[in-house]
Amino acid sequence: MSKSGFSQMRVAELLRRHAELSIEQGRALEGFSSMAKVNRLLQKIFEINAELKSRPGDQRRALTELFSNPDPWVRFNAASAALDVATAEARPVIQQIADSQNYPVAGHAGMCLSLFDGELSDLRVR
Amino acid sequence: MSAGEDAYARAQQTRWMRPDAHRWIRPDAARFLKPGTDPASVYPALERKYSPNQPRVPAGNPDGGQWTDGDGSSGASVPNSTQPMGNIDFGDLPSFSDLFALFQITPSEIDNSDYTQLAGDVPEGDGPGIGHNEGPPLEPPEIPAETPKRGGDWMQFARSAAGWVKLVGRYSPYADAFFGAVKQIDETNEIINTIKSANDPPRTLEELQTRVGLPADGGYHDHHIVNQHAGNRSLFGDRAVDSRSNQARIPVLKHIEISRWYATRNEGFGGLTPRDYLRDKSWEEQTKIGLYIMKREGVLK
Repeated sequence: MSKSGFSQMRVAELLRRHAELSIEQGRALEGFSSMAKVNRLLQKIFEINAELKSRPGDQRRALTELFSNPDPWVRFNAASAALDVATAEARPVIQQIADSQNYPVAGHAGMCLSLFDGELSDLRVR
Repeated sequence: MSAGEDAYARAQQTRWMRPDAHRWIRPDAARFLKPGTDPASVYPALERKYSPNQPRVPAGNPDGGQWTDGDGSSGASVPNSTQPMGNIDFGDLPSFSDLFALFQITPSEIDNSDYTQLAGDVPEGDGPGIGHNEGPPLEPPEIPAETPKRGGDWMQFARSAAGWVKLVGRYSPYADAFFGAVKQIDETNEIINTIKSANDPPRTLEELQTRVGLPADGGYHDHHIVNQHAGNRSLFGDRAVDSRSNQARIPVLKHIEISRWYATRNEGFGGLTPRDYLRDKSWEEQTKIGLYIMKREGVLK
């Protein structure tokens, strides 16, 4: 069992935790909290993404359920994690955030798209 | 935006804020509307024109004498945003939510789709509207009683204020009144300059580099496009890192947000921060990323 216990959680529980962590991470970043705190929260989100990916059939597609969440950081973290498996649904979500001029999340979303299929895609780690 | 365009935008904005803004509405405006439509309901500037018949809050109320929309609430229900320092009088203003209507020429509710469109299109669709959590705040942030300490509180206040100023217009009387209040806790103008510069439009790299190396401009920092950390200085040398072509003078808030993006873990970089991922990358690759984040943050055209 992983330290965070994600391997024991059902998909619905993982999604709920993903959203909670994203809200906390967004607040930490926008509230100018320490970057160590921001990155600790992101590391947990990445662990959930990895857990979903490891499930039979790659369960990252389930993250599309978070695409209508009112919090832009929840939508951004969910959509960026689902980009490879649900591109048609995830890309417009990130594009909308990038176009919103609601910084800093708009900047993060824009860079995510540049790395995914834009002029920086050659630098993306796959 | 050039200085000329900036001045034009300011003039446009200012004239709609004038008490006599109705003079800019042509007298025969009604003929562009659906028959029977009250022009004042379409052109808010007409509504702002003084009328003795306009409902007011009855005497004896805290807002007595001020305009109201007739539903019992005061039209000047501006919250005491400056309460900690005492009241800053924003004057006899309509509520801040009404403020947006001042810049709106086309009707938002009345169907005149069959008639002439007088100005630019109003955005359509189901996107988040004003007041949604993605948008800037409808009210100015509360001004603290004392100058916020450098760091989180300071930056949060500046960012929140910048979002609001963007909404009401940097040159509007509302912003002027707000800056006047902020000045009481900001003797050096540091916060005010940071708020003002945060809404700069994107500029070309040439424009951003024009003032690099000159005496400091309030509200701006000289940003290194390829990061200036020790690893890069060792790899590329001080001369390249500090060269004029590797720097751009950008708004303070944007500089901080870009720096924090570089320090944020990113799955696109294998879970590393961009700064760590780029440590062994070439000057060209780092420049490419550096220019892109400036574009995505709305600094660079």
